[in-house]
Amino acid sequence: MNLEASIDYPGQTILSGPAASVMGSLPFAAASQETLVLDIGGTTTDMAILIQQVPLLDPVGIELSGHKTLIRSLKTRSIGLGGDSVVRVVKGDLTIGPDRQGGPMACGGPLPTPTDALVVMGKYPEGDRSASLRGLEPLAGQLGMPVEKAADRIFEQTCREILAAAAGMITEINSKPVYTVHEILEGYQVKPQEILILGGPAPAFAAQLATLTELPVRVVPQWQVANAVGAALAKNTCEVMLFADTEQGLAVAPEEDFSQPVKRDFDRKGALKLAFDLLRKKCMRQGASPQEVEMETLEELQFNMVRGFYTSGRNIRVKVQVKPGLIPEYREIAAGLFAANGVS
Amino acid sequence: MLHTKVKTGLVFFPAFDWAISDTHPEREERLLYTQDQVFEEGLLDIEGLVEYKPDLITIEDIQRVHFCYPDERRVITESHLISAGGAKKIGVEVMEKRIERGFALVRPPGHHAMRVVHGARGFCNINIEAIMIEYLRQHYGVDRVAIVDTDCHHGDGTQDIYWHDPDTLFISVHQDGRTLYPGSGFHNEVGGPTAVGSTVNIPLPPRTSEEGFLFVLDEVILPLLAAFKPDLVVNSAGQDNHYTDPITNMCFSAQGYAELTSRLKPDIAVLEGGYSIEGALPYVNVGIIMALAGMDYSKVREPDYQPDKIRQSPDTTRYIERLAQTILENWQKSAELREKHRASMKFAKRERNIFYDTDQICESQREHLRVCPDCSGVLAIDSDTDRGRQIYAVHIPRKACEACRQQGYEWYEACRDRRYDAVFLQDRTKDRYLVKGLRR
Repeated sequence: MNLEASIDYPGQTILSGPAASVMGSLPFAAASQETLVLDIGGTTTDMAILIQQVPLLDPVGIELSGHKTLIRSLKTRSIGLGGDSVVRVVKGDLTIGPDRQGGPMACGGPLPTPTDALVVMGKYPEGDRSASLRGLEPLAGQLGMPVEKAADRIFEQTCREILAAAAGMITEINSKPVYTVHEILEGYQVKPQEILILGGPAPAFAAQLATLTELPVRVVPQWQVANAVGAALAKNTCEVMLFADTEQGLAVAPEEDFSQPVKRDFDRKGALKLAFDLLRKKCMRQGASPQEVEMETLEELQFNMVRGFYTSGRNIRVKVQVKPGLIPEYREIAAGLFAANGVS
Repeated sequence: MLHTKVKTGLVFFPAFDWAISDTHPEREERLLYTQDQVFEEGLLDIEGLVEYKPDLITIEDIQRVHFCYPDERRVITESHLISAGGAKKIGVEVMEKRIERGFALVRPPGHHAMRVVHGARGFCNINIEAIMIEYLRQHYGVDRVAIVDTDCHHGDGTQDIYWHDPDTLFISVHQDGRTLYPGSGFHNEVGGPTAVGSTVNIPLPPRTSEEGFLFVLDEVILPLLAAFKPDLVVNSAGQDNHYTDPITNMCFSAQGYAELTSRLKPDIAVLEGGYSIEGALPYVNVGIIMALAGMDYSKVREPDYQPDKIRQSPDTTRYIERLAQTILENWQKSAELREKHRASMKFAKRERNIFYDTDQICESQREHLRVCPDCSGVLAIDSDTDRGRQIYAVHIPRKACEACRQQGYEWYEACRDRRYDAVFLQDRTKDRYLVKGLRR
């Protein structure tokens, strides 16, 4: 959304950081497949799913530090594992993170990190290798192996833990309860066929992750700025839920402060038309341009209401949204931007 | 943040896209307002209340319990696989100790489906509780199970499946069969010759209210459970005994059902009937969920709840007291009766006519039981319908002795009569299910 709109809806900006990364990776995801996006940062790794370049949203609203909200956002999972996480050996076991206490020792930080492991392995071009070695040697001693092998172990475990957390997120998505026979039987099961990585140490991680999974692993071009590009080019996305009760003769969209009388023959089609109308207006109020409003139906349910032995009316519920993605005008521009920089 | 005392699982499957027919009360919106109520009250946000997606049962899971003619797929629809799968999911989560108790709020129901299935009866096609229980017995070694069926209608299907099973205590409390479908469930129906006392029926008069239900719970059901010592207690929690239910005549309430659940403490509860979509189901289900989770349910009430208006008469109270006494006295004689049967006969016969109201089929059944001194005995069933079909089915029970097992196979092999359209064998000892000579 634009700045003016964000002043009216500040709550909508939470978790916009991880979301922007996902949006920034959109142009490079396969158009006909499911993609797992990993944004590997210093403190955390954020993960999300794209289905044919459309990001997956959280069905009820995201959870922030254990607090449930109803704020519509992308379905992302953040784990305390990143390039600068503190590496320790606790009771003979290697632990990585969840805390970060400054940068890698190669850049002057106080404690060893996975980045230091990369430096020792010669896979990270910057930094002071002797500082990294100083940090890793005691750990290697505790693990009972030479320091190069320890560096290998540290880095491999970091990648394994990231993949395990991603698998957990996918299982959670696929176990979401559904309420019709059709959805149980035909219900979509997410099974990513490729992994896209962005974030500072993306290329180094890509190579190692590729050895731990059968899926193709690619790095988002200009990975260091993909997050910013995503924030700039993301479409507005919002949804509207409309209820209609033909016995009471009323259609309501309570979150939009909207209600309107309807006749007894009001049906699903009429409800969808009203809902799409409201959606378009809402999206424009949040600063969208008419071209970016691509709408779709999420839910349409209609039930009979029975009083005594007569059908007294219909209970209709529809939910519509603007399809999340990138602003159409800039889709080509973004691709051109990266191509011009010799990146495919 | 609200917490439950007991980690409780919930499978919620309203099957919004399935109904028996356009005008049938077993219909799409039956659980609609219940879902609204559960969401709006924020029950799913409570720590310790976990919602699961239902599993799907397999054809083998059905074969373990039923004899379906012509085959399993012809007598069910996909919604039945999911409904039974919902009960199964809760059962598995309880066995895996990921939850302490659970409630499968599912459609369609199952307690009128008997051992032999020619079609749908009483809105049921397959017995969802029996399928879950036999699955848990097969995969988790559960042995003694108590089923308490509190649906307003007699659970004649469940009773039939466990009639000859002394390891399953089936207790049904329902509106008296002289006044309501299916017209059975009298207190002299106590189980087959080798399982006397493992079926207990408590038929209550119309207009029984909370006092009556809770009285039989405290005076009959809980003492019997304490004596039986089950590994698992399953509650068929039908809610058509509510004072607003359109097709029955009892006066139970949300408070009453929550109190009953709280005292009964079932491990697994499964929804059965209940057709008061707005007036009853939302409140009773919220009450049951909160009672299972050990939470305070005192504020759960229907908007028009007035306990004085629905109170039962003193005559009803006296009747129920006498009934309870009779049932308990009869039950004390169960072991003695089983011995008497074993001493006096080698085989027992039972003949019945069964009507499938939903599919309009008349079935005539003849059972032949080996009254075995060592086990509950192998069973052969000859069943024919007014559609001109006849089948022969052999059931070898889970703990059958070797002699009964061999007898079962002999009966199955020897049956080559061309008049049967199918011959079935259910060998529960080896989880093996055979059919031969199938003619559709």
